[in-house]
Amino acid sequence: MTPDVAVAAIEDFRETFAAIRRQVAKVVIGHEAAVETILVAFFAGGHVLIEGVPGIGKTLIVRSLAEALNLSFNRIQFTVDLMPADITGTRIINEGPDGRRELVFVEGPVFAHLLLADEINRATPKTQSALLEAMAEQQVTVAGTTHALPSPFFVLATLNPIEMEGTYQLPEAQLDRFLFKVVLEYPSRPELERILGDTTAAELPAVEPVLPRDRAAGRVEELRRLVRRVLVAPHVERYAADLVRLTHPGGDGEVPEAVSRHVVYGASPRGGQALILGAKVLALLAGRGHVAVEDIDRVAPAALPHRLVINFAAEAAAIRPPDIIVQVLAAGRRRRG
Amino acid sequence: MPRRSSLQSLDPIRQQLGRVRRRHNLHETQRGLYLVVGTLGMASTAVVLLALWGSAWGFAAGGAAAAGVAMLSVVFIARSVRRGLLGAARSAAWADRQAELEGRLVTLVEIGCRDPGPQEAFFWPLLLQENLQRLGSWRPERLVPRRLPRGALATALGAALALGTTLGLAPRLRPAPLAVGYLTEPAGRLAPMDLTPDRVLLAPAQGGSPASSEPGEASGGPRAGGGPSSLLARLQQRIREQVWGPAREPPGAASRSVEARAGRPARDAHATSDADTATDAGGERIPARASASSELGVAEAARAARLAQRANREAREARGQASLTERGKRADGEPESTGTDGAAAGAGTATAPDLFGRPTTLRTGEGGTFELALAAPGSGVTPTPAPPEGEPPPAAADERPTLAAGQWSEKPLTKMPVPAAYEPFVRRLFAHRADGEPR
Repeated sequence: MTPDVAVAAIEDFRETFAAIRRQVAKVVIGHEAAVETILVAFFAGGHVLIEGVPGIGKTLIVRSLAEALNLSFNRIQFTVDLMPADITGTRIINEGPDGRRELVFVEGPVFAHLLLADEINRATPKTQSALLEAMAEQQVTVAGTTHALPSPFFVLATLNPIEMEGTYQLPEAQLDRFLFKVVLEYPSRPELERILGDTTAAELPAVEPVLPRDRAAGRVEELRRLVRRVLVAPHVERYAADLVRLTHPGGDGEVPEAVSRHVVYGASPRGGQALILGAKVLALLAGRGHVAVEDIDRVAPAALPHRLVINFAAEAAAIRPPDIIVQVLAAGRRRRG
Repeated sequence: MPRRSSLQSLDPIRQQLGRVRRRHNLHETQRGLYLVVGTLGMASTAVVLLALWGSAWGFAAGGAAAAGVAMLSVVFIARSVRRGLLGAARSAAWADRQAELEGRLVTLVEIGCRDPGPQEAFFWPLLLQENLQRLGSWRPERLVPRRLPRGALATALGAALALGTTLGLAPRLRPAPLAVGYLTEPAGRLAPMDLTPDRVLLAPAQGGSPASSEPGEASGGPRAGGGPSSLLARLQQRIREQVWGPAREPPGAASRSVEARAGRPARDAHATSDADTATDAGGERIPARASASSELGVAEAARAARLAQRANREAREARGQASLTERGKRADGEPESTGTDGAAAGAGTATAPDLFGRPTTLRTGEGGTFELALAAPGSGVTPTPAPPEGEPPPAAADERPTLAAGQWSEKPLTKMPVPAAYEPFVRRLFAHRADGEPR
């Protein structure tokens, strides 16, 4: 292996990433940071939870991403009467040409490269749990038979922070399976003016595929393997582990006061994995074949907050997990020296 | 083989890293050393200044504070230097951060030490190449540009200069001496004009209370039992002796030496002292002057006074008996009284040994106490006014006589009915009489 090959691979990754961003930006106005975070999670092999009020482009982002990647895309609108079989698929009796009838598995909407689970908190916990195995193992088991999901498999779930009646809070175990959580804010005035102009014009902007249809999945897998090859020094791993430990109220060292007072449960080891994987993607985007601690710092606000379980006192004091993560990062930097 | 060549290519990086570490550690060590020198120098300067011009309490408090601050500073500097010293493990991270290599160097060094070797890593050759290309950006001369820490060195030199200047100028900046006047009367009977702020007046104790030489008695002086420790006092005295010259005689030594040289009994010497001061009480009132620091304690002022008195006595002996006789006359030509105000002229030439109380056996810094009659700089006790004499002045006229008309009549109130037959007896019983007159 020569350095030139590594440089070419990095450049290829950066160009592909930038091309996808450009295509998504054609239809998604604003939300640049959110789109980048979603793409980082996609190439890191994780899933993303998007929180935002209705009508600010959550579904549009996912759809345009699928179109740019040229991958299969399914959408599930979660409702209270949605059943697990509606997600994973079910077996039906099928009569063959010879007249014999047999049970045939019909794939559910989860069998797609990109899955949009819209308003996931409206389904019952039982249905939500149906996504657990799919997200973690990239497979579903129906009637004792395990079916592998296509690769790459990327789940984008949305949460509606308003209209909380009749919703079911996502269990912590499921929240932990999302690599990142992205909060979409309202667009700014210039962005809103552009949205109004572009979406009401005679010709709507269209997303052009960046990857060829037949090779798209392979290319994405190749890029994901490249991400995994990025070097991580022990001091970076130590720093990521420190950050995870600092989110634990009973953790060692100088746990921030906000953590000890307001956090019930801290981040799991999956949080550390999310830090490292996300940092690897950011390192490639920076043209490096190794992770720097600054990459960890940049990833932490998206990778850690949704893994914290805060207590009532924090909610009463309007202290949100992102605020706590800011203090965790400061403590981590102090410990790093 | 490829792994060996890959690790061998790390050698120039490791060698440069070692040079960076040595240069940085040398720089840090010098910085710490200079800062310690500077701190100690400044603290020493402060201690010397306090010892020379500070009171005993000031020296004790200020010296302790200076020593404490210096000690804390040294500890802080030592910790800072210890943190700043680079070990083999930290040097790569430090150089990486200083040269803004974005983790390239530290990643290379840390991963290069891992087992299995990094030759299988996809990005290892790229990382190695990037580090080799950036060798120049973290040369030792670039990361540690100066061999000498200028700021710390300037601090050390400045502190040394300050200390040297203090020690050099201190003998010239010795405080101006205070005049010491000797009085034969207790200060309570002096007029206020006798107590002026530019001199120290010494007089016998009021009521003839004997001077005490018992250690531990309350005196309130800097060397009293409750004062700073004798160690600090000795240190202050020693610093003064080193800077300002040899030590003064201990209390009592001057008078004893005077007696020894005069060969006269103490009572004779006391009379001489009275004669001297009697002249002064009618004239200038300052027969002898001795240099004494305005900040010195009462005991030191007394010692200085004895020294000055001895010098004056030698001068008077040189002037002879004629001078003594001439000084025994008042300004109006009347012969000087030999009453309680002083002894006769020429009654003696030696210093009275009990002038300032009994001589003590205490030495400077031993922490004992002794009682001195009076040594007050500047202000003193206002004399008690004499009782009025002669007829009292007539009462002033009533300014508003009209008010007298509205005044209640002063009629005696009968407290108890007395039979008329008893009236003469009662009147005689309660009549006013002079003391001792029979009823």
